[in-house]
Amino acid sequence: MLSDMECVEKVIRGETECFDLLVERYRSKVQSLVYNHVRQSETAQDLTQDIFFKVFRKLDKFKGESKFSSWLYRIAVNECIDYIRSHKKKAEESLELAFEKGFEVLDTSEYSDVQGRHERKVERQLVQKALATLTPEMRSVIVLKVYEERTFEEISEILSIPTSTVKSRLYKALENLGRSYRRRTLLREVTP
Amino acid sequence: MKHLTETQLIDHLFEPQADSSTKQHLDHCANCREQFEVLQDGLSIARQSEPEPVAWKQPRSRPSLWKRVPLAAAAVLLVASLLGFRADYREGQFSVQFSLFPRSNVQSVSDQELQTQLAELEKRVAAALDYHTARTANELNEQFAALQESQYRDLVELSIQVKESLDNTELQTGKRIAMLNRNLEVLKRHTGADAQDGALQ
Repeated sequence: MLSDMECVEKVIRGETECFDLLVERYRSKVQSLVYNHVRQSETAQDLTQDIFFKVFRKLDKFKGESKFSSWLYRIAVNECIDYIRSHKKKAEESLELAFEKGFEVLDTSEYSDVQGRHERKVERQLVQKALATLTPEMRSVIVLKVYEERTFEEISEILSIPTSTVKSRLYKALENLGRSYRRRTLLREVTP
Repeated sequence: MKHLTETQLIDHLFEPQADSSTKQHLDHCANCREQFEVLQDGLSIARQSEPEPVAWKQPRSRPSLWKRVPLAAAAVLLVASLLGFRADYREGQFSVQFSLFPRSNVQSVSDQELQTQLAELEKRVAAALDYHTARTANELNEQFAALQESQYRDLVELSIQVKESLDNTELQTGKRIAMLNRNLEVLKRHTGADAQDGALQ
């Protein structure tokens, strides 16, 4: 089986069909990474297509200084950050939609528990508002560490920043989430 | 007492077994413990908000973007050639000429040459037709995909409306059940009182 670097060299030499191998190898991982950022499956599929096109165009700039996968994920994360930044409002709406779809529509087992369902809905809104306080960069660190369960070293290579910066960014993101959630819970308790 | 750093707290959050001195510090320092609990809450929120996994649709069967690059280049060359641009490569020199009538000396050429030119023209028209057909198919594909997407959105909206309507129905039913329960209680109390009266009489 061809290694990533061999595929890259072949594509640069003009054997573009080798790029399909790379796409097949990484499509689902990139798609899932993008989906965890944008939380909308159609957008994730379109963005994944754009990312691979961008990678194809930039392939001759890849010098093998890092792993191909890290380079690819870096492009993907940057693309997600740009997307979130330019579609902030839309992303918040789609987040709401994702919650609606994920919890409400499929959750048929709880239909008899009206009060419980209402409480869970309020809880989700609190979570959602807490998430909205994160910058796209903070969200990326959470996606990579919490959802993708990558090591700090891997995240450092993907984002091309020192491990200490990754930890500091994650610290601020979790602190933001925790404090924001606590504030809103408190407000909810004191408001009749 | 020196407090724990951001790095130490984050390390302990993800690898609690790695350093026992951090745990000991947290047991004795209320300030760091409070900070650590905030991070734990944050992590719990992050985990709760993990997007639901989705079943990915198969990618559409049209050629990938990177495959379309050479196709697009070929199409551009074809259109340019139909418009009268001609590329030439002689003695190591590459040149592009443009003429609205690239065969202006057609009258001076022989019948055989005319037939060759005609055949070439026919080939170009056939290629242009192929290109046009492919483009139309591509556009139709895109329109179909857009239609599918809009139908999917409609379906999502409909499911949300149905859910809201179900919520309302449930709420109303809950209220009615509560009211019936209250009525039942009142009825029971009255029935009990009547029974007691009967016994006394």
